[in-house]
Amino acid sequence: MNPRQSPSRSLRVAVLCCTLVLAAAPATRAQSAAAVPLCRSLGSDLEAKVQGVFESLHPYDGCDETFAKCLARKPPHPVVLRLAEALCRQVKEGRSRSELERSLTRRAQSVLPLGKPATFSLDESMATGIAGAPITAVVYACARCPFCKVFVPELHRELVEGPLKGTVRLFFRPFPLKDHASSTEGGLAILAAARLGAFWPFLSKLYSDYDAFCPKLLPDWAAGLGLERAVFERYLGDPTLRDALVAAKQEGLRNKVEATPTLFLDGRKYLYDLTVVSVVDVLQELLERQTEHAAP
Amino acid sequence: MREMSIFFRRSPARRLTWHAPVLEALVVTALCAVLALLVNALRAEGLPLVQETEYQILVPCPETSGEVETLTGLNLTGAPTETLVLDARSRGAYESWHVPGARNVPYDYLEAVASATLRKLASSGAKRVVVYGDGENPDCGEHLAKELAGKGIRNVGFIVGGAPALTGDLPAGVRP
Repeated sequence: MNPRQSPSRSLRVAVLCCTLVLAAAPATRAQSAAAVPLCRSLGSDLEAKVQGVFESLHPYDGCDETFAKCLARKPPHPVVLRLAEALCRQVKEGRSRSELERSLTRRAQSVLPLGKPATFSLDESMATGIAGAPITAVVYACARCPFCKVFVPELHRELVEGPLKGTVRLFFRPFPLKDHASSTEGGLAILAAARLGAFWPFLSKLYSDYDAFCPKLLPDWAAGLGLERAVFERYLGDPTLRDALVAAKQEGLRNKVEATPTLFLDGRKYLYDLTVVSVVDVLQELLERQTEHAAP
Repeated sequence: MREMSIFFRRSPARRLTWHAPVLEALVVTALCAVLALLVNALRAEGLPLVQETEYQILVPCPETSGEVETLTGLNLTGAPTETLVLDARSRGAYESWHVPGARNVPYDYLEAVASATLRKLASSGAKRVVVYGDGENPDCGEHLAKELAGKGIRNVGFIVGGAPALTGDLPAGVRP
């Protein structure tokens, strides 16, 4: 070996090693994103963003380290995988890192059994899903709220026909907002239909014909669903029905409802993203938790 | 002008007309559109040419509410006309007892405060508004105060505990 060439060769070997290490580093980092099916289809730019998020944020349960380290475990905890997938979905929607962090905190508050649960006077005539279902969901909504007209029917459909069928019992609680014209009339009509045993069909009609709403039309809509018009109209004028509506609103205020729709899952106020996809995801997480705790 | 023309050659002698540049613009626009459609078709997540679902931004609808001061007692400082005291309880409860000088604005959980009432309050000349209610959970006084503040009445506060909490502030023998 020529002693003059030795430093040069060593240098070349060192450079080669560094190159290999640098080339391997992104591949190692990318492993955590690749562990989550949804994250694989994000594209390189978003995948890099997800990777940065995974390296700085911690899941609220299932593992005490960062997402990146938790996902590198074999196998990763189901909660960690679910949360990572939710993060990827939000990155795809264009959320910033701080928004993701806040969102994760709100999800933790919605899921973890912290503090005293809210209490309700639930009316079976305004419920859907099987009695004794593992999870109880309560939604406060206004008959004249544009968000409610989309959210409540979608959630109802998901719980009655979707993969969560039979696992969640959903209760509706009227919460008429003063800023919405005719919200009181809408709320009273919902209660009257509930007394006549046609709560969900009537609510569905109320929301599907949202733009055609007029208090004078309510008896026609009830009659169209096969309800007795005279009885429905009598109920609308019944002071006890108004008292029930006031009581539902007071209950909502006691439970810190400030806007509609507001959802409670097993007595905990749902603070996470108010989309049906996110709600279903959180409900699935709650079901997994119940199964986990029930296992010996 | 001849240098600017992309597609059409013109002899120097021939006079330029208005339709040549318009035609060129149309051709360029059509080419751009075709290119855009091609690129869109090649993209994995191309934009839909026709919106399939109604476009809407949905946000939760809030109840009208404003910032209010939380008061632990009826501390009426300054001239009596500077503070307007409102009793948010029902007419019957107000008639059976109320803070001397208080006006009754019964709070309705379903209907908004009438605009005539709001106008009266705004034109009262008072520098601050103190509301008390039934002291229950929820407290009608607190919610009336928040609604008034949300509708533009300034310096509104409510007494925590409502009328029952005012017992200590009242002269002996007068009880809520």
